[in-house]
Amino acid sequence: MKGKKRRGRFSWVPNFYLILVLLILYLPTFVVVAYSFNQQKDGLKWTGFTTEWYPKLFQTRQIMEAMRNSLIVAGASCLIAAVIGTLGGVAMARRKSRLSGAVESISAIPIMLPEIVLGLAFLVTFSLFGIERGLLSTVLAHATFCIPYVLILVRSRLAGLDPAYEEAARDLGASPMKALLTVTVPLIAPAILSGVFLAFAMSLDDFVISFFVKGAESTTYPVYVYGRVKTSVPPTVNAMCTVMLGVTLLAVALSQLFKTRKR
Amino acid sequence: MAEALLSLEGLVKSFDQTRVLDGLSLTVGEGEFVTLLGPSGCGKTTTLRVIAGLTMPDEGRVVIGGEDVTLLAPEKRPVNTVFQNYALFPHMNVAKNISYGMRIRGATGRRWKPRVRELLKLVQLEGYEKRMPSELSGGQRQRVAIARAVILSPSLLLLDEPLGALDLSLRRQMQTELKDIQKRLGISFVYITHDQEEALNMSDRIAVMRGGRIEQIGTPEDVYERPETRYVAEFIGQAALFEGTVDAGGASATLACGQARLAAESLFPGEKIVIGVHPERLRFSEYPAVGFKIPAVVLAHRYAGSMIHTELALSGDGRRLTAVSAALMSDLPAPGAHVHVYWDERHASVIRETVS
Amino acid sequence: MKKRGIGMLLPLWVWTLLFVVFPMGYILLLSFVSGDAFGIRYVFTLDNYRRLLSADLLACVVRTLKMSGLTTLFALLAGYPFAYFMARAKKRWRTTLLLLIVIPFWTSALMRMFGWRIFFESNGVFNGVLKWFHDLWYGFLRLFGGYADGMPKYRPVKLLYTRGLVLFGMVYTMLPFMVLPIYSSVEKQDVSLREASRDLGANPFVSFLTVSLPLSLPGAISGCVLVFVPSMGLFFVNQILGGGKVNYLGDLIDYYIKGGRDWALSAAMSMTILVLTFLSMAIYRRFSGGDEMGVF
Repeated sequence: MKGKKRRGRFSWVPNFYLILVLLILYLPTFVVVAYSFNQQKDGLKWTGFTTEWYPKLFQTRQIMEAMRNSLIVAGASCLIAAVIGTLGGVAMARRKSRLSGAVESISAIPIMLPEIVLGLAFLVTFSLFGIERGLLSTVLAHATFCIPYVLILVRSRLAGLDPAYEEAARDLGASPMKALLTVTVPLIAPAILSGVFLAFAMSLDDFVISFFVKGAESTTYPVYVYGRVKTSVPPTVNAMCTVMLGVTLLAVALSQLFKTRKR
Repeated sequence: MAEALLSLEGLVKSFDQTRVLDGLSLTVGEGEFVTLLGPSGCGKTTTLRVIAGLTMPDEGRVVIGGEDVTLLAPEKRPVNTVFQNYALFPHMNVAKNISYGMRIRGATGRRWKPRVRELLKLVQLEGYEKRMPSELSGGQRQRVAIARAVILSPSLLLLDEPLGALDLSLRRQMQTELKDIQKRLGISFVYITHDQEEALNMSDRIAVMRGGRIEQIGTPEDVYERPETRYVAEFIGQAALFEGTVDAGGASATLACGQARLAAESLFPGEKIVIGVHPERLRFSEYPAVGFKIPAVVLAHRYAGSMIHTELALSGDGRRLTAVSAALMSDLPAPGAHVHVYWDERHASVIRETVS
Repeated sequence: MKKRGIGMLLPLWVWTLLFVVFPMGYILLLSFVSGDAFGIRYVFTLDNYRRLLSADLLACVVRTLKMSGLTTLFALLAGYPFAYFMARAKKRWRTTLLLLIVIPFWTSALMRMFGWRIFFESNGVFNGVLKWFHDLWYGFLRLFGGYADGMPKYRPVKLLYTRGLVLFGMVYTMLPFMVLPIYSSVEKQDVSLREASRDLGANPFVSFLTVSLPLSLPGAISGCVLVFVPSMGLFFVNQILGGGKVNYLGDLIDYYIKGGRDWALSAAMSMTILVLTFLSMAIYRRFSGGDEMGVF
């Protein structure tokens, strides 16, 4: 049969294509990581393997600051997102009014709009409010797009949670607050953590919004890379990218771990 | 009947235009085991939730121990619940689950630990303190849920189809055990089930529910032997129903399929009645019994171990019936045989048509 | 019982109001007032939009739409087969593939653009590999005496700062957004549907055209929206790979706000992107029957 023969002859196509696209997808990441181990100080010629750039990271003030700023911003904004997103998600799950539905869709706007619009909106608003461009403005902006991640994960976990658990707690004498703290929150803790780590990763790697709202002394690492990209790039920048990639992947791995964890 | 511990007065509850409870009233005495029996959607779970305080009724009152608790939050009511799927807290071990009610009130380990041990003994799960709910079998979870619900010594325990998730043999065993636990604790149970055998087995009284109200309430024998409505007769014991008119003299009735004898009851000649006969009380033989004239044809026998189910077609109106007998297969008329159906009129229930 | 303290919702509401609703409203307002490098005067005007329609800015809008459209088209062409093959892969591979395609969502897109830049630099890996082949070829020719002269010097291919490379970078960045929705719409198709069409006499290709493709259309449309919308403002790709030689709306927003400090004009450009965003989302809603957009 013709069809069968054909299928046999071209059966390598799907796998080949999948692998090819994935190779292209990861190629630039490999390039960055590889060059962080290149001996050549400037220029792109491969002259040998070295790890000397990693200790050097801690000797370059600007790089140190960029990494520190990134971690501070990501940490602070995902903490804010954890608190606000969890409170809001829990409160929303049990009261289904039209208003709270609207608030839910509105609060998801930051992850649906083009980042550049959001960045501009933050910039003009902060300037109107008199919030100076710096770490604070960056944290506020990042927290805004971090909240939806926590909110969405908490909401979906709660949606799958049998209301009988909380009712059982109430039935056994727990006040609404006590039932929330002793039963509901422990049960959704994995979802909260998953959302927080995801938000951490998103904040860490955000460039566009940071670029708009950052101040001179609050440069985060992607903004620093962007600033250096047009001039000659020292291998320490590659090393920094590699380190931050590691941190991001760690946060994402933790997020996935908690997401799949069943109580 | 003992003094009323719980009384529900005219409960009404609607969800989205649908009346789930429609003027339901019920009293439960001290130490009584009352079962709410009915098909799904009859409002029995809603009734339970109203008693527990998890659902607010639109109208009516809930009185527990003489106190109106209609507006009281669930945590302030002296009742506890065994939830349908047990709702054991998945993040707490058995001991923590059982002691939750005490711990939430600030009890120290010194106080709750002995109590947990005591309850685990009651439900025959000694040594299971450290297990997580996910490591327990269905029957074990069931027992933990009961222990958790009784730790505060409620005067009333609500059980929402607690045996629904268990397999048949375990269900039978748990029925006896639950009844035993209830007797030992000496508290009232309000028990929900759709399984009539369970209800008949365990209850002091059964409330048969339909469409948000109680159709009939009485002892298991009452509802089985003396159903007041067609619905109860059919729902409990799957009685065969014969519509008819009382003959002159009141000793027999004319049915669509023939004639049947009546027990001495104050029935008026000409009155429309429905006679309900449970399958195991239907008899048939080659010769008609005195006062009965219900010819039928044997269609088939189904062997079911202790019982034989016989399919009969009534010659009078073509209806089909199932009769259950404990006879040997060889003693029964072969399929195709012409027989006469009869019953002991004292075993049949008579429902006056005007009632239903 | 159902009512939960409004106190818990309050922080979210306040935050949403302050940092989502207000900023959006504010740029809407800004786009209708007059302003220049010296500041904002709150006087109603349509000037900003009129300026957008001026020749060079309008050309920029059109250029942006063209670039985003091309990005969407190529992402669809490259992403559809990927998503399709992925959904048809063996189950244990599927989870791995899914993870591999999702990781770029979480890691820095900027860093990967940086990687491409290094890769395509005239003395980078790309040209290194080409040079190696070049040298090999001429060496080969010389071996057989056909080429007596000295080896011609390798002239590096200059891809950097070309529009083609910018397009490549855009497609590259947006590809996962295209793949995921298509994947999920193909993956959830019942295998028995294809089997039924084969059983009724369709060959694999006809079966694909008549069954799998129409059923995956909502996924493809959703993917197109998810690619088109962000690509309108993705200015860093053009800046890093294109050197900012040609400007798109995103670059101009950045330029006017940082350089020219003309916030009103930037706001009008943002509103343009915003309107296009809502438009494409509306189209998407119409075709997908109001399904959730969520990728996460």
